[in-house]
Amino acid sequence: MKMRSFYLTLWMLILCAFTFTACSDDDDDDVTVEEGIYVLNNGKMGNNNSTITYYDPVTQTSNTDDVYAAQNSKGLGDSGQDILCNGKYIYLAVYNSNRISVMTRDFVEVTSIALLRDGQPQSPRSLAYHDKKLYVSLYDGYVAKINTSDFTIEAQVKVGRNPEGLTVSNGKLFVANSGGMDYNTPVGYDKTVSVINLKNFEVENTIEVAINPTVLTTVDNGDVYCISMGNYGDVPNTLQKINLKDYTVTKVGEATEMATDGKKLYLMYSQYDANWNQIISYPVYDTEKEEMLSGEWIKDASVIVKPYKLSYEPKTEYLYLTSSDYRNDGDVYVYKTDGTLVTKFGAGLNPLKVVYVK
Amino acid sequence: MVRLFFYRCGLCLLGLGSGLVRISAQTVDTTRVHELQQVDVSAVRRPSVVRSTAPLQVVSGGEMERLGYQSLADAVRRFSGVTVKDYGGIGGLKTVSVRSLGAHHTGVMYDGIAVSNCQAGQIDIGRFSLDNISQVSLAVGQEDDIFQSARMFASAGVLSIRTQRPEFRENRNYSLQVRIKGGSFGMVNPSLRYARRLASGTSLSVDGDFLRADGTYPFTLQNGKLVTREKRYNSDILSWHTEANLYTVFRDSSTLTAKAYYFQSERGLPGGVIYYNPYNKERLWDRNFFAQTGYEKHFNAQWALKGALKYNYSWNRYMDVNNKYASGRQIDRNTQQEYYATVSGLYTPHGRISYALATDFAYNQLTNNFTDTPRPERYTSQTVLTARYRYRRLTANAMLLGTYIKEKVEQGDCPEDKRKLSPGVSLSYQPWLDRNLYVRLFYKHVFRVPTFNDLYYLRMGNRNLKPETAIQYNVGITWSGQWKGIDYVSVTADVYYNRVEDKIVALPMMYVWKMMNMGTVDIWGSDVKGTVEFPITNRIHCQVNGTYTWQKAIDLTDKNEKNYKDQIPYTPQHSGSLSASLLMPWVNVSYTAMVCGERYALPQNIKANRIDRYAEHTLSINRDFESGRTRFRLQADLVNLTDEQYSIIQYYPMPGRSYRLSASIIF
Repeated sequence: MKMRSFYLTLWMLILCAFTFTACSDDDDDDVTVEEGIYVLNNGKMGNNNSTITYYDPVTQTSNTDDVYAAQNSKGLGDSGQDILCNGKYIYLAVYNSNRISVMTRDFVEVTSIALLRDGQPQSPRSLAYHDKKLYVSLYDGYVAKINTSDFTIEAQVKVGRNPEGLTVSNGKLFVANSGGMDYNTPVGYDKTVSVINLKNFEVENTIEVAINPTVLTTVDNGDVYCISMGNYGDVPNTLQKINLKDYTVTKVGEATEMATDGKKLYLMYSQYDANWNQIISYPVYDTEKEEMLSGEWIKDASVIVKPYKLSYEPKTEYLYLTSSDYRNDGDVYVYKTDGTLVTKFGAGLNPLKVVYVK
Repeated sequence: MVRLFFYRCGLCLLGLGSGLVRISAQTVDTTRVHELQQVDVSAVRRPSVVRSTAPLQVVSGGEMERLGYQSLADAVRRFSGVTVKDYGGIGGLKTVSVRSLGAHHTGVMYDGIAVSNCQAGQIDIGRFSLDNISQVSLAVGQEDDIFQSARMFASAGVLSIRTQRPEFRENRNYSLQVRIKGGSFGMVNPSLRYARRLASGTSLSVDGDFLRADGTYPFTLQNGKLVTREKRYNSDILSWHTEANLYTVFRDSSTLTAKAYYFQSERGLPGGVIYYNPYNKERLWDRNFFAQTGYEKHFNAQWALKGALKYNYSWNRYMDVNNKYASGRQIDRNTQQEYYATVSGLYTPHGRISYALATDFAYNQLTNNFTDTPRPERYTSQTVLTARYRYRRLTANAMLLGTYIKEKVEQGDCPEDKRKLSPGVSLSYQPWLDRNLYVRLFYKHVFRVPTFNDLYYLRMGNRNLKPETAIQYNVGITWSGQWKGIDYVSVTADVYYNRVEDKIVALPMMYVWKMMNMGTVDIWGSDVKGTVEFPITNRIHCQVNGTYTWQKAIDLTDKNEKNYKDQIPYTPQHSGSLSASLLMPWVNVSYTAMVCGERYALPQNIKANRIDRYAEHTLSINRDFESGRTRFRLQADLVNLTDEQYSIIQYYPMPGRSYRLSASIIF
């Protein structure tokens, strides 16, 4: 008798355990695409989880449901790296999926451009737009020029190794050649910025900067600023100014990330102590006076624990500082240029860049 | 006379899933069970899973063969409380994690001696051939046998692989077994096993097997509403495995064993499926050689001594072809060497109590082709003192392990020496003498030292890392018996709690990842296993086996993180397995199923990270023939018969329906 009840209990236990909770929650409703801020989330490499988050700056609310998936019924792919909105279209470079997605302003994909050379993916990184042409840096050492009316690749020009950031100034395209893929081989990092004349799409100059340049930006007076990431060891993250007249390079400070409203460079500088505790500062550089200003641009830096990327968005005239721990969905902190926090909203995994879409 | 011994049983514990169907002459509650199955007659001691003070699961080579298991990983993933990370395909990496503690806490023993990998810290069990395995066991916590090397006590769980010992039939001085397996996706796997008696008490065996497969299997890729039928490319494998074993029993009944092992492989690494970009040219070459020898002597009823030596050499070369590298390709070469020695003594002052002392010494080194490589060397000394008390209905074990590690590097700072003491206790009690019901408890403290990769790997390594600790508690109840027309029933149920602290994880440091001691995981779980063996008719017998695991493994690292208290990645809350065999005079039929609930690919438990549950079913049929002095065996397996499209690791799809045929001849 006792044994029988023992079995009965065991049976019940087993049955309970095998009753998997069923829940199906496929949302089929389309997101109505509205004017506002769109955040490109990089996702985690290998997880095909790059997404787009919508944020309404008027109501200050965000929707973390992926806008791309809602509009196209499929995923953006693996590691979206750069987003740009110009003319009729939105362009999005998806690095590991090796494509550029061309979308209408409501995020409906018009075409997807694959970039291949010698049967290998060229892996797009950064985008720049100038005079109806889209320029894209390709990790195998090229920059491609894409016609934005028929989306064909018009030409490719060879630059340095593993080009990253792009910027246009004075009819020239500046390309940061990082060489990041060879950090552990005798070849080492690259340390050049290529200058491409956009009239003939040829490299007309190669400027030497500090090792591992990745970020470039142009300010109102035409000067180009470059951040070199260094070697994440004894060579720090360096902010440099490239003089457009003679292409001389001047070190102006230290920075890891930068964003500009055309006048000032809003910076973030992240370092680590011996125990790998993060030390972060938010310096600001005046590009007209050409000097570092005293103090930090941010009013209360303690609010944000794990800063990741910084964007300036000219329509809203706000700075968007994203945060990420690389494990969980990140947040975006919205700041006025005077450093006061406007609001904070939730985004996807590794929020990278914001664009305004009307 | 050799004949099939099958114990008859009754009750079908449907819903209980499977692992080990016994095909052995099983008397209830015995610690010595000899395999008397027709194909592989071997005298490996089969430990009792019911009397064991800590959870133990055992599957024999014959069972694995009969149930149509394709690989060691396929067998191990059916154990309860185990998560096998399988990256798919024959050549895909397969690692074992016990009770959500992580693969680094699982020790792997090959014929009693640890298989080590100081660089990665986790062992790929995909490389072990099933052809020459006589028994696989998984012990959580501590096995009851205290007469072991110190390394055996250093892990949270031990997967122990025993190879077949030569058996000579009808007074012959040799035995020969030839087998050929073939199956879907271009798989061809011939193997040869030859054994010879050299003198009375001395025999030699030589094993060899070759494996090749294209591995180009179809799978369904679902990208939102876009569903496409794709093929898994760059998933080929070509491997060789050869092994020679010498066994000697001396006149004083002391034993000497020696083994030389060589493995070589070349494989494509298909990587995760990336949307819109099928390109993948990563390849891996492996070479592994080891030689080990062991000696054991029982002087008298009180004293016994054993020792072993091992040398291990492993080499691998990784290559990726892509124009993003300056030379158009990246080539990494790693070479590891290990020298290992162990001595243990057993002292049994009288029947009830015994003590054992074991001490191990290991030297490991790693070299690679990176610039600024530190060329680390590690000296490890481990000593364990164990005591065991066994009287009538009570068994109790206690252990204390001391570890001392010293490292040397050619470049940069040298990590601090590490000293650790880790205790463990286990107990089993039989409340009623006339019932085979046991209650068991164990507690064990373990830790894992940072691997060479954790400490030194390029810019990711962190030389300040501390060991990661894990504490295990377990309470269980076991019962075995016979019951109304059922030959054998056994049920074991355990509840456990583990806590992992100072977990070694990779954390981002603004664009560079760094290994850090940053993680706390709380694990609650329960494992239930059951076995029944019963006759259907006089000549038809049935064996059913089931396992069920419930696990709640939550991340308690940081209250402010969005994944605080979320289930850790790749840990299903529910999983289970079932196997059922019908043993008939003309043919044996086996069915196995594996069920795994939802789990998450990333730390945050959100819909985007969720991986679907799956169920995989396999059907296997085999038959043995005898013609004169030669035995034949034919087997056909239909693997994943419902063509379930699933993946264990996200974006590493597993093969759909496939078949396999094998034929063996044994002289």
